[in-house]
Formats: sequence, C-alpha cells, structure tokens
Amino acid sequence: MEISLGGHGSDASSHASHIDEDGKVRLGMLFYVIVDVMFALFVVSAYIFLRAANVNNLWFPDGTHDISLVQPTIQTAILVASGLFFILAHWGVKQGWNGLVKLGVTVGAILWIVTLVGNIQYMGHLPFTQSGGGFASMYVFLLGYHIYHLLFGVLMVVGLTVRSLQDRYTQERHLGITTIGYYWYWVVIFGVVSYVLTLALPGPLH
Amino acid sequence: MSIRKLVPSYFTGAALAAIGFIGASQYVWRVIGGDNWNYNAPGNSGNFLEQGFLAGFIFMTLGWLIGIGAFKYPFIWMLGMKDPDHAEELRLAGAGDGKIRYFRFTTDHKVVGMQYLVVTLTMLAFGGLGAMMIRTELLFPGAWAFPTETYNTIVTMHGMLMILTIISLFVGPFGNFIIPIMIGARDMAFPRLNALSIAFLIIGMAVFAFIPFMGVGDPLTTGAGVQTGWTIYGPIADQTGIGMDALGFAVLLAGISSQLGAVNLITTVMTMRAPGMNYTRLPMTVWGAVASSILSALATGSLTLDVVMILLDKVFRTSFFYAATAGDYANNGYIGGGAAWLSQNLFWFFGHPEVYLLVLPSFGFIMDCISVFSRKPLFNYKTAILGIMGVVVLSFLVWAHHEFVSGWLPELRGFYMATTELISVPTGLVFLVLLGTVWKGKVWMTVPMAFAYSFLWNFLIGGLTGVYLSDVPADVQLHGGMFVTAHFHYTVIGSALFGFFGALFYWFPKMTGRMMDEKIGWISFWGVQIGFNITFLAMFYVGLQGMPRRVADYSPLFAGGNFVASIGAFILGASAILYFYNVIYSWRSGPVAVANPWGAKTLEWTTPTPVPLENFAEIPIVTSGPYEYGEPAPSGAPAAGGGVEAGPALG
Repeated sequence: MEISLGGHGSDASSHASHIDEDGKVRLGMLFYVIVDVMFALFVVSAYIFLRAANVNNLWFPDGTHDISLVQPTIQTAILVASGLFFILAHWGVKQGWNGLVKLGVTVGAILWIVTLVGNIQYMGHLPFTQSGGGFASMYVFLLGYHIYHLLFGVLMVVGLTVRSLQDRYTQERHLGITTIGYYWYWVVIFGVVSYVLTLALPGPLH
Repeated sequence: MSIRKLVPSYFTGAALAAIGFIGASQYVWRVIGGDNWNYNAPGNSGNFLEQGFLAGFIFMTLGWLIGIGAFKYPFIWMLGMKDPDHAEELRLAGAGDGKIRYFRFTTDHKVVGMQYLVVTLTMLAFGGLGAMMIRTELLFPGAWAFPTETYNTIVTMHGMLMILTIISLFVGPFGNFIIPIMIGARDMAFPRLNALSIAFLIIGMAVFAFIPFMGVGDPLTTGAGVQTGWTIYGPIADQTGIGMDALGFAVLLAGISSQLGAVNLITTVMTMRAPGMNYTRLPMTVWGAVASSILSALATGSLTLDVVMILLDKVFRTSFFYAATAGDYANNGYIGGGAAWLSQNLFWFFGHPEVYLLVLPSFGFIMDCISVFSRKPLFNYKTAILGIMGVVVLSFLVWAHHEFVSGWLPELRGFYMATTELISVPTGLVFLVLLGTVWKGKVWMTVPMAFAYSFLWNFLIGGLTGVYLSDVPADVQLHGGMFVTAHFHYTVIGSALFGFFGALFYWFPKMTGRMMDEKIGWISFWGVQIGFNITFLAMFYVGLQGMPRRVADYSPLFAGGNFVASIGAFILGASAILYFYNVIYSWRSGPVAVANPWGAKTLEWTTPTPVPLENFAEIPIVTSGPYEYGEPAPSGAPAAGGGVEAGPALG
C-alpha cells in the first residue's frame, strides 16, 4: 500500500479533518435503531408464530376478555402526539424558529413521560398476569418492551429538552435533534404496531 | 499510583457489582420472599429463588456500569453540562496513565483491544478446560469420570462459552486494535461505546462464572446445573436447573456487547477511512470483520429474544415455549399456549448466521496472510468480496436445516437444503482466491502462513461434510450424532480458531512490541493441527458408526474411535497450552520487534511500535491497494518488500 504524508496543516487541523463527524453520528444512531428494529421484528414474528401455532384454546386467558380499549388507545394517541410535537420541533429548527423548537421538544418530552407512566400503571393493573398462557405472555412482553423503549428514551428526551432550552440547537447545527429523531419516530411506530397487533386485530375483544 | 486514578476503575466497578448483587438478591429473598422465598406452588407466579438471582444479576450489571463510570458522559450530556473537550477525551483515552489504563473504562482502541485479548484468551482457556473434561469422560465407555448431570452441564458450558469466545475472539482484539489503524483512523467511531462493549463482555462472563455454583436442584426438576446442551431449546431450558438463569443473563450481556461492538466497527469502517482508502483498497481483514459485524448486528437479536423468553418462562412463569394443555397446570404452574418450535427457530435464526460470524474474520485474515507471505497481490480482490458478502446474504436463508427432523414445515426442507448447498458457491470463491493467490507465489513459510495452509485443509473438510449434512436424506441419518459435532468443530476450531492463532502470531509484534517465539510456534502449530485432525477424524468415524452427541456413556462399539479422539484431544490441548505459554513468555521476554517484521504493506505496519496514542502523527493519504507486491513502485515511493527478508517500514 502506497501512502503519502503531508497535506495537512497543524495537528489540530489534521485531527479528523477528513471525517464527516455529523455523518458518523447519524450513521451510528441509524445502525442502533436498525439493531432495535431487528429485535422488534423477531418479537413480532414470535407473536405471529405463536398465534398461528396455537391449537389448544390456551391462547386467551379469561382476563383478556376484560381488557379495556380505552386506556391503551389514549396512551397510543398521546405517544403519537408526542411524535407530532417532535416533528414540529424538527421543522422549526430547520426554519431557525427557536421558540418553536423549545415548545415542540418540551411538550413532546412531557407527553413521552406521561405515556411511560401511563404504561407502567396500565401494566400493573392488567386483568390477567404474564403466566396466563401464550397471549398473556406475549401481551405483557410487548408492553414491557415498549416500556423499556420509553424508559431508555427518557435519557434522550430529557437531554434534548435541557439542551434545546439552553439554545444549543441552531438552524445550521442540530445533530442531536436529527439523530434522536430516528429513535423517537421508531418508538412511536413500534407503539402503534404493537397496539394494532395485540388489540385492534381480531382477538380477545371480538 | 494515586487513589484518584483508581476511581472510577474496574476495581470500583467490581465492588459496586458485588454490592448490587448481594443487596438485590438478599432484598428479594428475605424481604419480598420472606418465609415463602423458595415457594413454587401452582398458581403462584413468583419463584423467589430465581427472581432473587435475576434481580441480583441486573443490579450487579448496573453496579458494575456505575462503578466503572460508564454513565458519567450520558448524564453530562443529558444535564446539558459542558461537553468534554479534546484534552478530556485524551485523558479518558489513557494519556499519561501507566498500566492502570488497562483496568478502567478507557476509550483508546488499542487498550480496548488488549483488554479484549486478555478476556477472550481467558474464556478460551476455560472453554478448552471444558473440552478436556468432556474428552476425559469419553475416553472409555461408561460414565466413569463425572456424574451424568455434571457431564451434561459441562457440555452446555463448554459449548456456550466457546461460542461466546469465538464471537469476540477475532473482532474483539484485532477489530479494535488493528482495524482502525489499518484504515488510517485515529480511533474507533465511538470510543466510549467501544469501552462499553468490553465492559458488557466482562460482566457477562462474571455472570457466566456463577453457573457451576448454581447447581442447587430446582424444585421442578430432579437434575442440577444446565443440562440442555448449548442450543438451550425451550421448554427443556424452562425446566432445567437454576444455572440456566446465569447462562441466559450472561448470553444476554455478551449479545449486547457484540451488537455494540458491531455497530461501532461498521460505522468506523464506513466513515473513518483515511483519504484515498476507498472500499476497493481495504485489506480483506477489514471486509471479513465488517461482514461478521453485519451478521452480529442483524442476527444476535434473535438469540437475545430467545434467552429473554427462557428467563421469563423460568423465572416469571410465562408460556412462550410451553405448549402444555390445561391438565398440566396443576402440576407445574405453566398454563401453556406457547410453542417449542419457536425456541428452535429463534435460536437457529441467530445460530446459523452465527457460524459464519465466527469464520468470516478468519477468511479475511487468511487472505491477507497468504498475500503477504506469498508476496503476491490477492488473486481477484472483487471475487473475494463477492465471496464474503455472498456468504452474508445466504446465511440468513439457511437456518431451518437444523430442524429437518424436528417436524417443522417438512415441505420447506427442499428449499433449505438448496440454500444451504448454494452457500458452498461463495465459500468456493474464497477458496479460489486463496489458491489463486498462493499459486506460483514465492512463499515465505512462517507460523501464520502455516496456519493459513492448515485453514485450507481444515475448512475443506468442514465445508464438504457440511454439504452432506445439508442433504435431507443424509441429515436424517446423521442428525444428533457425533458426525455433526465433528463437522462444526472442523469449521470453528480448524478455521476460526486456527485463523485467530495465525493472526495473533502475525500481529503480536505490533500489539506487544515483541516477536513470538518461532520455534515454540512451530511445535505448537504441528501439535494443534495433528491433535485436532486425530480428534475429529476419529469423531467422524464414530459418528458414521452411529454414536449420538451429548452422552456421557456409550456402547463399547464406539470405544476404539473415542479413545483415539480423546488422545488426539489431549495432544491438541497440550499444544494449545504451549501456544498460550508462547504468548505469555514472548510478551514478557521475546525479542523486540521492528516496526514491520513481515514486510507487509498494510497501514498498521507503517506506524511505530508501540503505536502512539491517536496512531498517526499525520493521517496518511492512501494512493494504492493493500497488496501491491511486485508491482512497479510509483516514482519516489520506497521499494516493495519482494523477498523473504524483513522489509523496512514503509511510508
């Protein structure tokens, strides 16, 4: 391998001058989300596999007929609203409207935390337990995975709120909003997917 | 050494991990469990003995991560405090620190690489010990050395530990130490993520070390330990001893470690290459490691889900893998509604890409090695990439060949047979490249080159027997037998592990500054190669005779073959110990290495030894490919190595 040295100025300027630092972070976050999406695909596949393979009437325990649609629907709606406020903030930062960024991120983060608390409360008051058969296990698993997403994301949404209130994001540089957006969108999408899979599709309520 | 440098470090991490484990497990057992701490009656969804262990492991991990300071920078970011500047980053990378930087959360990729080397070699030693115990038991018919439950647990631990070892064995030490220098980068893309991935592996192995001490029989079962075999199929895994909790959690942590490492490595190679280092100038080692990382990032989640479901089934009485009918509920607390095939599919959707994950880095290294030591450019570089990437794509389409006799979708067996046989095409391309490179080369016979030759021999046998096994009629006969065991040991030991042995010999001068001893190297090479082939050729023989896997006791019909296999295994073990001795001896007192002892042309050999922090004083600009031996040099460039003598450092 032939190489030539030189062409860079001082040490400070040669330090990573050819590397797209922002692109690096974007790519890293994208790969992180891809790894998580793969895990979610496996979970969803397992759900479909179990649902298809069930033959012995143990799929829906008694309590599943008492699931109320109201609270999961509200929580999913709040999560979607959180994602919409975030989109508003992302659009705002591209326009350079700082007030909109602060408003969107802060309201989005608050709605995120409200969903988290709501989901934990909901999980604690289910009319069945995780040991109530295949569907019950899978339902609690999907709920728990969603709560893990939200819990892990608290670090990100709180950090994003604090930093946007500090005016750290500008029209030119807003890498944090872009990359955390990948995660934010993904969690909202997963929330909707698991809601549809477990409740809206023909199941215990129909 | 001041106390200040020890906080935070791995020592504070270990202390907090111990406090976390004892505190959480005791809390669950004594406070939540109370009098019923081992109560496991039907209808009670709690099993406090296992819940205590699981809580202990979780808080042990949290304590470790807090203790080593892994949460510091995420919280600095979250609270909007001042971002760390370059001086702070250098301090975190261990600038100015002595040996203590090897015992803390250090971001320098070379330190992480050395940590990986020590951790994985330790894991390899324990896995090898398990292998020796297995072969001792199988020396004679009759379960004469260990109780059968203990033997089953040893088999499980040997299998799982070796898999976890070999996942990290190449991509850990060399992916971290060598590959960033090879592509002309100052560090990995995400240095803190890098330090976090080795931290997860260390704590995962600490959890794994609990298994032998968790032999207390589960009330549900009569046996103890983990008797499932490394495939941990549900619902057997749901019903085995409590050691399964430690195994599952350790696999979970090791999986997170390899996924973080994979994301980091792919991003590094995609974004941190030096100017001029385009994709067709990457050394094949980089391609091999990236291909392995792609598999790791995409497939490991399947295993993670499998072990999480097993843990939930065991500890919280969910029914993912338990397909019982209502009548069983009174007996064991499960309701049912799960499926055992789910476990097999989840396991093998990871498990089959995973075997390529193990060997692909060795593929890459062997190609580099053969090019260096035959002093020739790689024969058909793009075909080599096609071979490696072809394996990556096809490896996701073959997993159900492990389930030919399980009864799952028999109509798809033809499809999986075809895809599996198809995968011999890209691996054949890799062979073509290797043979084409060495053809008419002026070969410099060194120990790494000898391991490259042994790779050709071993992987040929491992690959060809794989074609037989993928054939449905043959597989129905051979499934679950010693033939299978011999086949995959030929691919994993004979290719992945021997590739690692060669690679360590090759890069040892760059990593430690000293040469490994050539004479001991040759003795250990012939020892492992001959011992290995005796062991597993004999195992093919008993496999064809019909001996099943995973049994402590066997018919006297198989005695001859097993005796030969055990003797071969002892030769292999003794020679591996000799190789380890060589590593330790040469590290302490081997001859000091020059910067480029092999006259190789890749970038890592242009740096001084020991490699300075941030690797390059100035980032090099690459103007040609990595294998330009014997090509006319551009004007002004140093002459190519060309001969057998050690070449000068280039650049």
